[in-house]
Amino acid sequence: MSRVSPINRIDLIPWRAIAPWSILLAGLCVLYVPSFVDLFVGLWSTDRHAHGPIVLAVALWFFYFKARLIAQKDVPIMPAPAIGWPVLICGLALFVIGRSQSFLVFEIGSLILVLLGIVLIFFGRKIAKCLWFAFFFMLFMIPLPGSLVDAITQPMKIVVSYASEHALFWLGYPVARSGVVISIGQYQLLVADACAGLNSLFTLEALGLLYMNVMRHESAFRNVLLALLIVPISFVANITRVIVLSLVTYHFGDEAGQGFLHGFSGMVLFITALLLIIGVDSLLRAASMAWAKKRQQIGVRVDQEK
Amino acid sequence: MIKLPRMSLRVSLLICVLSIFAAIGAVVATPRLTEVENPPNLEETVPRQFGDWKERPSPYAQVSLATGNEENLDRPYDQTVMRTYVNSKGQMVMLALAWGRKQRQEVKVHRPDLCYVAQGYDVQSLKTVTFANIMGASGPVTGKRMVATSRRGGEVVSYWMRIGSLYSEDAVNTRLHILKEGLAGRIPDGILVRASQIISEGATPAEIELVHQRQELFLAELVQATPRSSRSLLAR
Repeated sequence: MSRVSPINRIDLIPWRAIAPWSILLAGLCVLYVPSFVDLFVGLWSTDRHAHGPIVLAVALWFFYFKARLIAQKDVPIMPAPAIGWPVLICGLALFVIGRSQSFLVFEIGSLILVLLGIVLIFFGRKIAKCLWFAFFFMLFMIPLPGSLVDAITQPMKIVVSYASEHALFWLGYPVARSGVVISIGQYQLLVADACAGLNSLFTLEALGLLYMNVMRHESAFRNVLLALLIVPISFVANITRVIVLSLVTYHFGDEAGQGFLHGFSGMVLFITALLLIIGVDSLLRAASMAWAKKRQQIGVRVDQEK
Repeated sequence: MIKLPRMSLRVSLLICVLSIFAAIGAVVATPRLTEVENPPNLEETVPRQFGDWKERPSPYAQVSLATGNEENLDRPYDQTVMRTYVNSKGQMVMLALAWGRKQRQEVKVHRPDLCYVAQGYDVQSLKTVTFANIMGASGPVTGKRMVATSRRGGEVVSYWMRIGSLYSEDAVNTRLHILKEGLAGRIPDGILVRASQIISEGATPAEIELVHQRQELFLAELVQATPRSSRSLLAR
């Protein structure tokens, strides 16, 4: 070959292919590295926002995972700058307001719009659509305002306390409850935000998604169903944690309870949740297989009648 | 490894430049002006004795000013005052003042209705009230009457929250006010003024009404008796 087409030449010089990506990345870093540093040393280091880094990591991994799928599937690249630019500009404006006024919902929420805008500008709607779940998932990463979290967490705490009290009562323990304070024997336990809060729900939701992607279900319906079922699963896991903590305190004393709380209760939560997720998923799979079999039989019968 | 699709260098440069502008814009737009530069010391200047009221050491612990979630990093208050006053009839009022120099979106005075709930109380009633005897810049101060109960007993509470010049009635209003001030380059200060009293379980609505009225009179007298510079922190 004596002639090299211009396109091939660009391929031969990786710098030309990498430069736009690096420049883009540098721009994003200038915008968001300070924000995320603030988050890591600030809110995300607290109990009630501890899910943030996990969600971020899963979201990034999800982007990578989806991008790889898209590359395999050859989804057409059709840049859509007409919608991309407005979305990007909105995102940047939101960032300026959020960052300057320390309004975290705007500051972190703007990242979704900025990324969406960039994807639209360069790759178009089809690819943005393939990535929708990653964008959606990043919503969980936004630190919600304290008053809103309180408003959601409070009823969750009451439900967890109520269920734990009833379970313990049913097991025959001397237990009473007032609001979110559980009394067992001579001990009193306050069901804290961490025991019922959104953070554990969000973390488990992230965990569940990870699980689903590792299992690679084809059925979208089953995935959505499982994602929804993680809400009650998270409740059950939290209730289990509170019950185990109550029992440890009742049988081994306050000190053991506190030790357990800081050492193993998180583990109990996640192991319970993971077992439940796997269990529920197996049930779903069995159910869908039974359903498919039945349909097949009906199909066969219909065929025979013909 | 994914093979990266090619992108336009010019477009990505443009996006990068826009991002840098946005980052600079955010730094420029960050408000820096605080409303109160040399705050008076509330503990020293708020009178320990006024009218018929006199401070007295109290056997009761007051409901904390926190919602219990902050873990060191969200400390919205620069000054707090917690006292118990008694009058000549032996009636008791607990006073809590919590002032913060900088009110930001995520770090601001906590609403008592949330603090009480966070500490195991049920809010039985929460009504907006106008403190007719206490004047702000734009008329009388508005606040809330609250009744909260728990297993440990009930409390009757009267309070107001001032964020800059706003007497905040709900969280959305507070946020909008802080946002508006912030975009103008100002960071408002904020205070919670709270009077509370423990009540017995069988208190009738009429008794509760009396307690609210007494608290409102107490707060009016307190504001009146406080020297001018500190008074502007309590009500403005």
